[in-house]
Amino acid sequence: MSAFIELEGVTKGFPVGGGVYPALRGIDLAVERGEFVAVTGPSGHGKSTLMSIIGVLDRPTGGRYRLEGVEVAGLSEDAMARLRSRTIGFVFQGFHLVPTLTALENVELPMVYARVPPAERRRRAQALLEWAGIGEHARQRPVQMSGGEQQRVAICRALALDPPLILADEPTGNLDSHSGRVVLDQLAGLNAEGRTVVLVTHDPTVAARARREVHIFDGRVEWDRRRPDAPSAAGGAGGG
Amino acid sequence: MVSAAGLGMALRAVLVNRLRSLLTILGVVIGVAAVIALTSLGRATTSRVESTVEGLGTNLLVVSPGAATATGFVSPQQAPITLAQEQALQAAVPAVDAMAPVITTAATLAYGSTSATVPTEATTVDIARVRNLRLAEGSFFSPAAQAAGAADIVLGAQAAADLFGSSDPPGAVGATVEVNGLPFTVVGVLAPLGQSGATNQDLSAFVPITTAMGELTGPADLSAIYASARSAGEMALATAEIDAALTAIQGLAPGSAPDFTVTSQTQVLSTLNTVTAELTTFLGAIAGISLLVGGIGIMNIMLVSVTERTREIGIRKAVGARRADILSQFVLEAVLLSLAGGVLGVAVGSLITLLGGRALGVAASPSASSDLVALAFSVAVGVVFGAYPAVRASRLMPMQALRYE
Repeated sequence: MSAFIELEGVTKGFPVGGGVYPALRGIDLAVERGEFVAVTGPSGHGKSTLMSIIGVLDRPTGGRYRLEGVEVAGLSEDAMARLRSRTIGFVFQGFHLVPTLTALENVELPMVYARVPPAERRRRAQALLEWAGIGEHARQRPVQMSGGEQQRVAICRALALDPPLILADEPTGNLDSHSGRVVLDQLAGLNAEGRTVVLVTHDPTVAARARREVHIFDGRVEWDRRRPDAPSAAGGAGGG
Repeated sequence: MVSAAGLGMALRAVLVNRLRSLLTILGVVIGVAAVIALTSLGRATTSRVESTVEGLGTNLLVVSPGAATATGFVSPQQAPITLAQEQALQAAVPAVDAMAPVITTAATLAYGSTSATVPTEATTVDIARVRNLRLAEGSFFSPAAQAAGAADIVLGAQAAADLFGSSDPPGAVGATVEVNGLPFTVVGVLAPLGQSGATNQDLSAFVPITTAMGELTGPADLSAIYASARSAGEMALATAEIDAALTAIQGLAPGSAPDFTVTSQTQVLSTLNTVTAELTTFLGAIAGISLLVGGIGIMNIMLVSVTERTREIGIRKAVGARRADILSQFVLEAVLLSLAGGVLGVAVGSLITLLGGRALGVAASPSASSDLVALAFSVAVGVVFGAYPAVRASRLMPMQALRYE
């Protein structure tokens, strides 16, 4: 029985000039269901590349990557899209909301592509926004909201299709400390519900919220540490 | 993914850049408007030409001196047609219902201090029957007056209005007008006939040919002979009879090339129809080119839009959009743009049609079928020119698109 997330000797190179820049030089990593993992490391050492591989946003150049037992290398682009939509919710540093859509429509977006009927997706999107405490912002565009509010909309969007895995790439990077704490509390809460959370960060205090820290240096896993004493999710995810 | 949500999102994207969208569709608006206006005005002109030519009488045959060559030009006549020949011809053509000789001259008509130059036809009373002339007032000059060489004149509606001022039946009958300085008594005024091509048929006057040959034109050769066949079905027969008889009368050997031309109104009609149809097609094609240019404008702006929204495309892909979803989104946007251009173009084109029709004096109205064709065509422009930018958008890898600044 394989792990939920399983990477074996994963490499990723980017063409640069005439040659290839090796962003990942052979990553071995296994994450079980329900884990809360922080991926840390200095910038430029492959954290975000690893995150895009785990997130099925990109294919590895070499090695094997299985998500939920599915080998990603053999998938078509559309099959990758389906796997993402079914399995992963994304939270990005820059929020990445569609600027022309309202908060509600942004949360609905994954459900639109998953062909969820309109009435149902509207109901669920509204419920998610209420859960995140920003129900009154449903009709607003991203520019009308604060960074913290936008990131909470993004978390609602990540949860729209109830995925087992949440991938967060520097989710607090653009937030003030209070908003950052609220977002981290929400992520911890989602993990407490049984979701797997993978958090990419360069910030040690953010990484400290996770129960496991994988440190990436120069395209390799430098160390992989479990912290049974890490703070639990009791900090509260604002209900749900 | 042409769902309500997809349509809403596409509409939003188009409306975000209102000014840009408007400028983008301008090319399509102009193209569609031009196609609609030119084709419907062309059609209206064709049908007006048809109706005026039919108003002249579809049974009408015109015999003119000089032979028509293969290129359609009339060669310089060798032998004129004379009044005596016309009289001889009348007796020899049973398929002809009525026949009238005509000498056309531009005469100066004067009444009091008003004067006008009017194409005046010296003819016989039979012209009224041949050309189906109806009188608004008075009567045509009588056969007796014609025989006596009386100085009687019948005025066309426009000629009467020009001389006597009013457009109402001006009470001109009985008045004396001077024709090239000679006094003539107005005996009748014609009902309006309308425009025939560039010719205003109502600017006309008719005098007895006997009188004219005595005083006005002198003994002149005929400009033409007008004849009407008994029925539309006997046109060919009447033409053949005239051909044979006039060849004999002019003393030409049977079978030799005639020195005159018999033209039927149906011939004129079909020639005019061909010309106007070709002109309409030609103008429509030119207008179609501007539609093409409009399509290229849409493609250009869609390419810009794809570049600007690379990040958005990445986001959509990250949350599960497939290639087909992105493809259809951008095609849908292009179609919305071009369709908006089409709708606006139909509106503008219809307006131009109505105003232009009024200015040209033709009853032009845009047809539903050409509107539908124009709309379908503008949708096709959107699909064709939106396809390439959409394919580019759909091919972006999500991670690269997300990182795009």
